[in-house]
Amino acid sequence: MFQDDAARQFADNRHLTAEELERYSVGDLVDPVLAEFEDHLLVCEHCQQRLALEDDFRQGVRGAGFLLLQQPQTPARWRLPKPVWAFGLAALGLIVLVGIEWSALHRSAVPAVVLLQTARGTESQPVAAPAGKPIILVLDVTDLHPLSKYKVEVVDAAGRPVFQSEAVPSNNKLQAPVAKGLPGGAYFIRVYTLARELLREYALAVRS
Amino acid sequence: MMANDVDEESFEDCQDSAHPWAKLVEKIRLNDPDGMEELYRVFSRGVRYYLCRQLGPQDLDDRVHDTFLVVAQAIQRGELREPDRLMGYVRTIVRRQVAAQIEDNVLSRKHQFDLDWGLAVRDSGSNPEQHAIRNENQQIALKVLKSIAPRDREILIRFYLWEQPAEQICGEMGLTDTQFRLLKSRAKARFGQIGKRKVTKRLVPF
Repeated sequence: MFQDDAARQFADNRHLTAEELERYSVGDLVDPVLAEFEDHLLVCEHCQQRLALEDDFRQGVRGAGFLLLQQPQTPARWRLPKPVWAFGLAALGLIVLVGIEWSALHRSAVPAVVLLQTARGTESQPVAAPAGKPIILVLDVTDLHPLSKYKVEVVDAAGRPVFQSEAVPSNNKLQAPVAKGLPGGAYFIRVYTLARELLREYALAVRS
Repeated sequence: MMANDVDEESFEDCQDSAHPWAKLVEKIRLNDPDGMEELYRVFSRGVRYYLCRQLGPQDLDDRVHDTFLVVAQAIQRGELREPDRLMGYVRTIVRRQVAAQIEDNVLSRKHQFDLDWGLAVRDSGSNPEQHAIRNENQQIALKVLKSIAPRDREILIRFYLWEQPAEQICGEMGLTDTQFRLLKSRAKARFGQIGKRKVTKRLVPF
């Protein structure tokens, strides 16, 4: 696939490259390529079809992505987890619940402990944490390539980093204290190598 | 899905369908019906496609007709001095038509708003059939997005929904430009594969 793109990218005098087609679709193509392509588009059925597909793809992702980002605000569908995971999920829920309740009872800055584990499938609820309270993120790094240290990053729903740290694993767990807590919203917690190779990602819902 | 097939034709190869633009222009100038027919045959699909993409399907036939009328009349008045530039000239006319229509839409919308008729904005998607198709496609896309890897999903959402520039995505996700393009291409291909499969399943229920 990429090789195809590269081949088109460096070939002179061809139909518009996939990259340029994408840029035209989002309105980023500028003259003189824009004028040349639009002339070409008037008489090239092949490029008309390519552009139609590109438009469909872009619009599909935009619509679906928007719906996807809206979903945490609506009751999520809940599937009965597989027995293997049921116990883990129940324990996880208990830990989160205890963390939240304990934090609520103690209005002091006692952090909520949030355990994040890998989950099978995409339908499971994201782990929840209280907004504006200190949090200790406990990340399960089982099955990851063993390293002496990992980078942990929290990004918001728009992908903006809001917290970064380095953590040393212990018993296949990483601990990352977020002392100031996080505002309400959807977040993703990412585990990287020190060279910033993404290894794992967890979803986190912070609720006010 | 995403037109990833390498094509060996060049702009010139395709355009060149080497239309003898000078002869065509001369025929139109002389009001020869064959010239108009040829002009329509060569450009109608492209003009129609361009207008539909920019303005939606409303009144499309009328707009296409108007465009050809404007082009033909301009040629007959001798406004196209270099026949070899016919394609660029047609494009310019089409773009003017689009700009005029958009301006007209904005003015009429403003007028309607001033009259307190509410926001009677013209729906670019338009007819019920297209609306249904768009909704259906969106639902398929939603299922597809949920089924791909979170990282691929994030790349697509950042690029297409949030319209973040590639440089920003690469910087924040620790990607090189090559990795970004590769990941995006893969995600796109995956999207195409799954989407196609899902559509096929629905079309062929048994």
